[in-house]
Amino acid sequence: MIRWLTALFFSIAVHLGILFGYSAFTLESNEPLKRKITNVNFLESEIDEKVEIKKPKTTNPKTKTEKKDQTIKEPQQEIKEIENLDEYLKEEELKKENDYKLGIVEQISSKVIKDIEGLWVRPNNISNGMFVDFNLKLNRIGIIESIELKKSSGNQTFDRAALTAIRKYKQVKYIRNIDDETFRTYFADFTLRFKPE
Amino acid sequence: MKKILALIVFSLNFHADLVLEITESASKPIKIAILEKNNNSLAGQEIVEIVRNDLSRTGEFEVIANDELLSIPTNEDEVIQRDWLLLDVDSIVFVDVQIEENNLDISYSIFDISYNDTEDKRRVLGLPDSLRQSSHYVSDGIYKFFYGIEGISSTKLMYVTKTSNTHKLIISDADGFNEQVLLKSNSSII
Repeated sequence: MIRWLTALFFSIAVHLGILFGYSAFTLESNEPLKRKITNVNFLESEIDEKVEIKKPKTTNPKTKTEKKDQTIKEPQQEIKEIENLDEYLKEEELKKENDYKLGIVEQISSKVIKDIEGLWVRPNNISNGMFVDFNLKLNRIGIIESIELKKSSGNQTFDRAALTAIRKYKQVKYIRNIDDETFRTYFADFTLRFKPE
Repeated sequence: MKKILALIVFSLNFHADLVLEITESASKPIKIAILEKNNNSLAGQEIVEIVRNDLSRTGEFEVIANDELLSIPTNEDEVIQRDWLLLDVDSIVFVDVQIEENNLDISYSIFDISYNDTEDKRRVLGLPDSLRQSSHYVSDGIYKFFYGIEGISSTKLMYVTKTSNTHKLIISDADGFNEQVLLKSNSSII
């Protein structure tokens, strides 16, 4: 019995190891990229999940309000329902705010992409699927404080051309007008990927 | 067990990171200036001229003329970054030419304006009578630095001419200089 258990444990450990290794190596290529109108991507689907969670809740209050008309006799339930409604309204507001923020983020992102595309002169020795990642840190007024090479393309000329474009850009001017929280969550530290098509 | 697996997968995919993807590049030429370093020698001026013509001919460089410059530095320390940013110049190439008896020594450095520092230093050695060919090597070096592939300035052209009834097979530099007749014939060559 103990042997069986150890064997089981061992196999689980091995499989976990394989899973880890596999996902670590394929993470870059198999990112769950979400293409929007611009080429802004969120590597993580946090916001969408929120929406998904909300969806069932949006259907709930409706059915409950229908019930509310029918069951006027029970005042305790009514209070609960109103609380639910308030919550629902709050969530709705939050969601609207979130959407609004995402809209701003997308706007700024597309502007930044357009600007940098105007500055970047790409070299001629590009192979298929080549890309370089830079990690940028901005200060509150949008000046690029640090440029860090996160993932090299393996091609020095390509990396240098991209770096030159970022250096020329210097400042993301649009960031001044956004609120602190959006700035902190999205633009204080973001990734710029040069991936010619 | 499933929960643990889900947790692991979830934590691996959790990146609260904004990624901006740049896929298009500007279709404009790289703007550079080519200057001679320190002394103004005749050979130096000639080399600068050859390199300028070579790079302009590629169509991928815009070489700014000397009379458009706001200041003319003779070495890297004299570069006033502000002037060059105003002209929207990307890089300055400083060419330093030394000729001694049987040696032609061209060293050139590429100065990046936005970085405000020298990015690359290279050297071409040759004989004084191979001045044109050596200059073409300089052009190719500069081209490769920016575009990643070998330039074609140091290559040759081969062509046939026909005047009245004589056919000539001629080989020349890529810029049309240095013509040499390889074959002269009354009948058609190609």
